[in-house]
Formats: sequence, C-alpha cells, structure tokens
Amino acid sequence: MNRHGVMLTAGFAVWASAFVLLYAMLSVGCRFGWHEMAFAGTSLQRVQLAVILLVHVAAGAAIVWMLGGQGNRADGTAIFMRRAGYAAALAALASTLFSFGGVFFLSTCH
Amino acid sequence: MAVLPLLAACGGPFSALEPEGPSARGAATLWWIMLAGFAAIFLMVSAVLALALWKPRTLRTFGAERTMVWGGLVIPSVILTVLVAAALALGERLLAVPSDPAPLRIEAIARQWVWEFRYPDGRATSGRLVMPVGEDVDFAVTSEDVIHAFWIPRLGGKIDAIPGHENVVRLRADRAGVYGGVCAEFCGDGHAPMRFSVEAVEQGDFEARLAEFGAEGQQ
Amino acid sequence: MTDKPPMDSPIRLHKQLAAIWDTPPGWGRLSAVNHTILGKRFMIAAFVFFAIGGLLAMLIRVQIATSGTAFVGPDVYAQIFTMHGTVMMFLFAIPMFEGLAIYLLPKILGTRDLAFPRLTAYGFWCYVFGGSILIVAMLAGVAPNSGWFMYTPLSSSTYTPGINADVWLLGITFVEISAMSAAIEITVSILKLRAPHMSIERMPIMAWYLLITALMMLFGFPPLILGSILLELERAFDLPFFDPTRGGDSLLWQHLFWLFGHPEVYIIFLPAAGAVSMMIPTFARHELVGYRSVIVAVIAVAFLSFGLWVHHMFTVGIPHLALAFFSAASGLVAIPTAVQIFAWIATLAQGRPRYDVPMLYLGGFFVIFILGGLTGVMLAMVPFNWQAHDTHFVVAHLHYVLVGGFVFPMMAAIYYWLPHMTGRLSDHRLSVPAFWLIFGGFNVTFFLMHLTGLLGMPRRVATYPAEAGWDWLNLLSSVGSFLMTIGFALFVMDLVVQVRFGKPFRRNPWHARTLEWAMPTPPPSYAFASLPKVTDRADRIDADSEAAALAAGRGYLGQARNGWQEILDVDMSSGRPLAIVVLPRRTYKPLVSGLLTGCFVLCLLFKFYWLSLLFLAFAIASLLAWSAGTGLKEDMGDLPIGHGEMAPTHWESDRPPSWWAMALACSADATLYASLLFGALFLWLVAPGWPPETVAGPAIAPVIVAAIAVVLAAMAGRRAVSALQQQVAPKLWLLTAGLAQLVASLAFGFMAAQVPEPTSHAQQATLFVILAYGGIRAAIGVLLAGFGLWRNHAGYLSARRSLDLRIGRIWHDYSCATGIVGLMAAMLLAYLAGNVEAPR
Repeated sequence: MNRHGVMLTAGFAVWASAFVLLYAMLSVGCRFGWHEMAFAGTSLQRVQLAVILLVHVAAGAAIVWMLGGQGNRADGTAIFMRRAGYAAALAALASTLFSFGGVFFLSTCH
Repeated sequence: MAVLPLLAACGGPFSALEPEGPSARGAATLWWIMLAGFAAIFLMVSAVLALALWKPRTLRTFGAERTMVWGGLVIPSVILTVLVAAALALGERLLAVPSDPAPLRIEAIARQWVWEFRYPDGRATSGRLVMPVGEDVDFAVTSEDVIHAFWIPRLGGKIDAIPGHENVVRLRADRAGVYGGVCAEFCGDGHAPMRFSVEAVEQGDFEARLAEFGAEGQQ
Repeated sequence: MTDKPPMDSPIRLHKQLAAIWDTPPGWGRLSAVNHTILGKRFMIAAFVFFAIGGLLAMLIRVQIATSGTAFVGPDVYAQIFTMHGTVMMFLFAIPMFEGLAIYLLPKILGTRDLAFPRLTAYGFWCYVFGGSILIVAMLAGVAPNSGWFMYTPLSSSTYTPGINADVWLLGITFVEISAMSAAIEITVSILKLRAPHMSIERMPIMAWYLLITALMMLFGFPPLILGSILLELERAFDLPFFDPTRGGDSLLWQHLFWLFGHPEVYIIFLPAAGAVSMMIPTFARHELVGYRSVIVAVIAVAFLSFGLWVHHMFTVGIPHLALAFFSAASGLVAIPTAVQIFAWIATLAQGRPRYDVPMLYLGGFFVIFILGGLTGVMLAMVPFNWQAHDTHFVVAHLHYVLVGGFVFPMMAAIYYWLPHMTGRLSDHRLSVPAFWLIFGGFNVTFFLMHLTGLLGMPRRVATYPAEAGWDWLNLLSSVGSFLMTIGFALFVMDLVVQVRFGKPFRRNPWHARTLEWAMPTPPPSYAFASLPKVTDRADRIDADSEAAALAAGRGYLGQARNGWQEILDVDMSSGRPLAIVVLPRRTYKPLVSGLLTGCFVLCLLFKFYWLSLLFLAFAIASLLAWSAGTGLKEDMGDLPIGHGEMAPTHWESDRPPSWWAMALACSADATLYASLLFGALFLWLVAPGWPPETVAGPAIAPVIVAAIAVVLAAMAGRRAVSALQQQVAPKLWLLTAGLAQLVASLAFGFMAAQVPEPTSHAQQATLFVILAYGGIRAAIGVLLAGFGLWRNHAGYLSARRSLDLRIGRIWHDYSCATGIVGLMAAMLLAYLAGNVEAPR
C-alpha cells in the first residue's frame, strides 16, 4: 500500500515468488521430461529448480540486509515498521530455505 | 496398565495401526513416535501455562522475550526440522520409482461403486484383489467416472483414483492373509459399501489363486 | 451551516448526534446501515446457522453411532454432511467473525462507523438471502450432496443432475459477495478510518489481526469464486473445465478449491486469535507481551497459509518434491502460531491474572487448539498423511482446530463483549457448567475419533460393517456429542438469562484498556460523541476518564453539523487527519439491491437465464442509484474538525476510503483473473485429452481493435481527470472513454462469440471465458464512464471534487492492463496448445 506496507511484506513476497515459480517450473519440468535429461552431474530439472531457489535466497538475503541497516527517518512509526519488516524478512528467508530446501535432495517427478 | 486394552483396541481388518507391509509400517512407526513426542510437548506447554497462571515468578525471571523465543521459535524449529527430514526420507523410500526388475503391476480401476483389478496376464477380478506376498506390487490406479481412493489400511498409504489420470502406489504384503480395502474418497451413494478384500497369498500360489478367481473376469 | 464551538453538555450533544445516527423503530429497522446494529444482526444470524449446523451434526452422530443405527439412506446422509460442513464454514464461521469485526472495529479504532455502511447492510442481506436459499433447499430435500468440497466430476451434471450442486455453487457465491465486501470494507476502515493520530503501530492488536485477515480474504476467496463460476458454467452451459473427457481436469477444481480452502482455515482462526489477544491482556492486567513479534507472526501465518493447500491433496499423485514444499510449509506454519501462544502465556506470567468466565473458555481454547495444532503437524507429514487422509482422524483434527481455534475463543469473546452490547453482566451460574459440558463432551466426541480414523474408518460413510470394530468408538463419540449439545443449550440459556436479567453495570466492567470501553454501554448509534486523539498505544487507554471527555465533546468532531454522519479519514501510517468522511445515512437501498441480486441468483438457479439478465440489470441499476443524492454541489473548503484543526470533506480530498476500495476491488479481481489464466495453463500442462483436435485462437484484427480501445479508454479516463482538475469540462474525454470501452467490450464479445464450439474442449472453453471476461470488464468501464458523465451533468464535479472520475480512472487503467494481458494469454494459450507437444 505504501512504503511501510512494502517493508512489512517484502521478505514474504520473495518467499511467495519462490513458491509460485518453483511449483510451476517443477510441473513444467516433469511434463517435458527434464528430470530424465542429464545436466551438470544431475538432471536439468534439479539444476533449474536449484537456480530458482538460489536466486530467491539471494533476493531474500538482500532484503534482510537492506532492512537491517538504520533507516534515515527517525519517527516512531518508521522505526517500528523497519524492525518488524526486518524480523519478517528474516523469518521469510528461513522459511524459503526450509520449505524449498528439498530441491537438492528429493525425487522431482515421482 | 491402562494402556494395554487401548493397544488391544488397535486391531481390526482396516487398522492402520496393525501394519502388514513396509508402507503401513513406516506410517505406523512415524505415528507412534509423533504420538509420544507430541504428548510430551502438550504436557510441557500445559505445564508452562500452569506456571504462568499459578507460579508466574519462574517465568518472569526467565523473561517474557525469552519465553517467546524459546517456546515459540527455537524448540519448535528444532523439532520440526528433525520431523520433516525424517518424514521426507521415509516418503522417499516408499515412492514407486522405476526399479529393476520391474515390480508386478496390477491395474486398479474404480467405477461407481466397484473396484476392478486387472493383472498382467489379462485376467481381471472384481471386488477382490489377489496379490503375492513378500514382493513389491505397483498398483496403477485410475477411475472411469468420479474420484475414488484406493486404500488398503494394513498395507499402506492411499492414492486417489482420478479419471484421466493414472497414479501408481507401491505396496507390499509381508504376510499371507486377507486384508480389508476401502474407497476413501466420497464418490456418491455407494461410497460406504465400495470395499474390497485383499488376499495376499504365497508367491507360489499366486497364479493358481488368480486362475480360480479371475476366470470370470478374463478379458 | 452550523459551526459552533464544542459544547460541554453531553446530553445535548447526545441528542443531536442520536437524531442523525439513530435507526428508526418498526419497519424502519430494515433501513439500518449502522455497524452496531448490523454487527449484532450478523452474529445472531450466524448463531442461528450454527444451531442448524449443530443439528445436522447430531443427525450425523445418530446415523453412525453404531453399525446398526443408520436411519437415513446414503442420499440423504450425503445432504446432511455436505450441509453440515457448508453451513459451519460459510454460514457460521466467516459471518460470525465478520459480525464481531463489524461491531467492534470502529469502536476499538476510535471512530463512529465503518467505511461503507450501506455495503455492510448489502453484505448482510446477501448473506441472509444466500444462506436461506441453502436452508430452503435442504428443507425441500434438494440440498447439495457432493460434500462441502464439491469435487468434480461427482458434482458435475453427469453425476449430480439435479439442482443440488447448483444450490451450493450459486448460494455460496451469493454469500461470498458479502465476504468480499466485508474484506474490502474492513481493510479500508482499518487503514484509513482510525482515531486521529493513532499511527499504525499504535493500533490495538485486534486491528492488526483483522487487517491481515481481510487482506487474506481479498486474495483467498477469488479462486473459489472463480471455481464456482466455472463449475456452474460447466453444469449450466456444458463448457468443459473439469470434465476429463474433454480436456478438463478435476484436479483444477481441487487446486482452486483448496487454494481458497486452506487460507480459509486461518481466515477463521486469526480473528479469533485477535480476540484472544484482546482478552488475555485484560484478564492478565498486563499489556500484550511481544506486540511487534505477534504482528510479524501473523504476517508469517498469512503468507505461509497460502503455501500449504496441497496438504489436502497429498494423495492425488503429485511428485514427492512438490509434496515436500507443502509439507514443510504446513509444518512451518506451526511456528508463528507457537510464537503467539507463548506471547499469550508470557503475558499471563507478566501480569496478575484474574479469573472470570471468558478466562475459563480461553483455557478450553488453549487445550483444544494446541492438540489440534499438534495433530495438524502430524498430518503435514507425508507418509502419515497417506494413511490418515480422508479418515476420521482428519475429522477429529479439523474439529480440534476449528472448535478449539474458533468456537471456544468466540464463546469467550461473547462473554467478554456481550456486556458491552447489553450493559449487563453474567452471573456465572450457568456459564461454568455449560463450559464443562461443552469441553468434556467435545473431547469425548473427538479425542477418540483420532483412533477411529487410524482403525481405518473413512470419512463420509453412511454405514459400516460391524466386523470393522468401529462400533464402540463411534458410540462413545455420539454420546459425547450429545453432552456437548446439552452444554450448548445451557450456553444459549445463559445468554438469554444474561441479556434479560444480568446485573447492570455503569462502565467498563473488566477494567479493559482499549477504546471500545470508553463509551456508554450499550453503545449509542454514533459510538463516540467525539473522536479520541490517540497519542500512545491504543491498548493503554484509561477508558473511564477518556469516556467522560469524549462524551462531553472534547475530542474531534464533537458537534453535529449539517445533519452529516461525520468521521475522520487519516493517513495510513501516521494517523494524521486528512479529511472528513461524510457517511451515507440509513436507507432501504441496500435491501432493495440485495433483493434484486437474490432474484438474479434465483433465476440462475431455476435456469431462467433471460429473466436473470433483466434482474442483473435491475440490480446494477439499484447499486448505481446508491450514489444519487450523495456528494456536494459546491466546494466547501476546509472545515473545522476540533483541536483547532481543519480538513476538507472526503469529496474534496485526495485518496479517501472509496478510492482505496476501488483499488482493492481491482486487486481481488486481478487475483481471480490470474487464477483463470493459471488454470488455463494448468489444463494445458496437466489435463488429459490435450491437445484438442482443433485449436482455437482469437483473430488478429479484433485483437488489435480491442487492444487499441482499452488503451484509448485508459488515456481518455486520465485526460478526463486532468481536464476537470484544470477546470475544463471533462465531458468529451468521458464520452471518449465510454465509447472506447464500448468498442473494447464489443471486440472482446465478438472474439468470444467467434470461438468455435466452446463446449467441445477445455481449450475453447477457457479461451471463451478469458475473452468474455475482458468484455465484461470493458462493459463495466462503459458504466463507469457513463456514471462520470452523469455526476458531471448533475453538478457533483469540480476541480476540487474530482473523486468520482479518479475512481473511474483506476478502473480504466486496470481494465486496460488486464485486457492486454488477457489478449496475450489467449494467443499464448492457442500457441501452446497448437505447437508445443510434450511427452505425456
């Protein structure tokens, strides 16, 4: 809605984007048999999913880093929202790793 | 001692707590571990709540922030990580991944309100499934009308029978015997009686038994 | 123009405000738009539906009490359990929390009413009429009978040929209108209509909970509404979306349903948790510990809850990795929930807890909800879920979560806030035994049911064989359920006794520190005689002294002016007052619109499609007529609002609530459209029977015409606003926008009509809907342009009063963007279906 709304939700927006892309591309990959195509020592399917995950982890980490700094506005609302946004971004980053870490281990299309 | 009659109550032709195959056994083991662990968690949370109400000093010295961080964040995270990892590892073992030699494949076709089973030799049975013990069997499950679900509680996890899709579930019976099978997804008026019996027979008897029952349904 | 300084006579001020805000007695009650009245009506209606749902539950428990007690056939039993789930979820839980939110929100935020009082009333009528359709159908023996989840193909016309499923699809969608309007209204009210200087981090915690819940509804309900529309189109006009023989897929329905269905659980739980977060601090006599952590936890729950719907679908044959995503998220959501639970526990530990009836019910909530949460984590584990799914274990789990997480907190909330509504207190004589009967009965019923499920009893069976060994468990469950019913009967009696004979009190019986207690109880129609200035967190109010000052008119807007129902619009973040919102007064218009919408739905139900179009037109006309007589015909400039501050009316302000409501409505519609486009891609990717024999795609000429038209409309909509603001007549630009939208609408309609045989394959059917939808949006654009012309003609617009056109501009922009996306999606879908072959 406004600057503060963005702060609060940025971290989880990245989580949501990772979720949508990973789930969609997982289905696409299985449909087109990417799990049976060898690539970089594993399957094309696993590589593309891992790349999507890592990009999102990087984005999530960047948001944590940005919100971790001191804001330049000193009013109570801004400080509160920044701290809450920071905690939410941290939670979202941990959630991203926890929810989607399976792309490195689990069988992708069975 | 009070637990004993309850344990005895865990039996029955459809009991998932009396497993006869690896899939059901894995789930049952997971269940007993979770039951014990979660009972302990429940008691501990209740104890903390009781402390808060009647002996708040302990919690006050521990600190409000720390109560939240440890109770809400740290302890549940550790438990969940272990649990999810274990459950996914178990799930991975149960998948019907291609294997060599390929397991026996039986088609399970659901229609309102009967189960039909088709065997590799072209025979078919209806309402009664015959399978060999001691080996993996892949059930290719589908439906000809609405959604049903194929479930033999004592052998293992269920899979939905969905028109237009074929789902494969890998089950194994460790002992010969007759087990109950049900339709687990609501499928209309005949949902409740849409059961089937599963006859797990020694591998040597499988062909003969199938010939006996499967004759009429031969295709 | 009365512009007197604040008066110090509370009685005089009360009389003046009451004359403006009160609802007349007798038939005049039907004209009520006041939040206090409507909140109570919502809750009473929800409670009636709860009783109906409970009665159905009793029938279920009789039917399956033993293997020999079945008293109805499977067809009637299917209606009973379908209606039990449907009534409890859609007609009890959601409206109950809406009612509580409608009643409380303005009061805890320190304002006089919600943003759109007539919309509240319209939502109420939609809810009551839609719910009545379902109940009447049940009495007529044609209730929905495919389960509350309505899985296709069972719910399709092939397997459910009667009107049973149509009753569900149309009735529930009708009720959803009320849920969507409530979601928009709650969001806007919390963001824009707080007490002056209540910056967002000063909000009472329940406002945070309700804000987040309302936003979840905004994005969670559209998938279900879309699913219902598509399934009704399939049933009524044979357009295949879910039919596997024609390129549809029943899994699409499951995804759409659970994409709504799982967030729904949290949509139900979070408001209850918000109420808990209000009550615990009061009884602990200590403010909520970890206010900020709780907010972060609720945000986490809100997001995660959208990422775990597939745990209802672990057995549909989805790859293990995908199951892992949802399994992990399902487990993960326990963590923010645990954070909240330990915040409440820590609050109790920090304070000096005081016992009263609400605390007893909160104790029941703790026990039952934690157990439900734990079994939820169990069910999140894939291998266990494969066994427990669709058994009575799940029935037990979901009742622990929903009764523990919603019903118990709501009963606590009733005991907590009923004195606010009636001015009377409970004498514990019935409430305590009622609690123990409900709590004990509940656990007898549902604790054993976990075991029933693990012993293999599937859900929704009307009968079962004696040799299955489920008899004794079911019998005990049934006995428990009757104990629980007796408990609820006592509970109702207790409420009646309390309302009629409870001990009156003067003010704030719980010594609560939130604003809703800083007013006389029962509350006057205008809630606050003047609006408080909030300079600290809003759960640290000294309600007693605040109440006296506000009643004396020493806050903002402490006077009656022009017969206006005035409240203040504030800055979202800082709470700085921006404008005076002049609310519409009591009127029968929402009732008329509700009735006309009801007639439209009934026509669809009985397949009078041509007549339904007539009623649709009437309903839209009646909604447009709401704006007649509202607005200003001359600029008023800034007016005094108290505390020496000035503000313009909302018609002359930049972004008042109605502007945000339009923006939110567009977001909800965008969610619905995105679900449709994703659904089309899903079918291409997953459904059997693709590619179709002939692939349909839009012709290039109408695509170009439509694209140009929507862009032109958006540009003209923008030019109309800037013209008006530069004091140039906007008429020509509005005409251009309207004509362009008309052309776009016709072009989309033409393309939709050109789709060959939409009933032959899902590719054609989805293409048809994607295009037709574009046409409908453009047609709404025509209406809005026409509306702008009329407002201009009637003299409501000026350089300062450009709001009506700016709201129209949002729509023209939005329909331009989505129109282009829709055209591209239509072409992409045709390309994929025709050219991209993949192994199946």
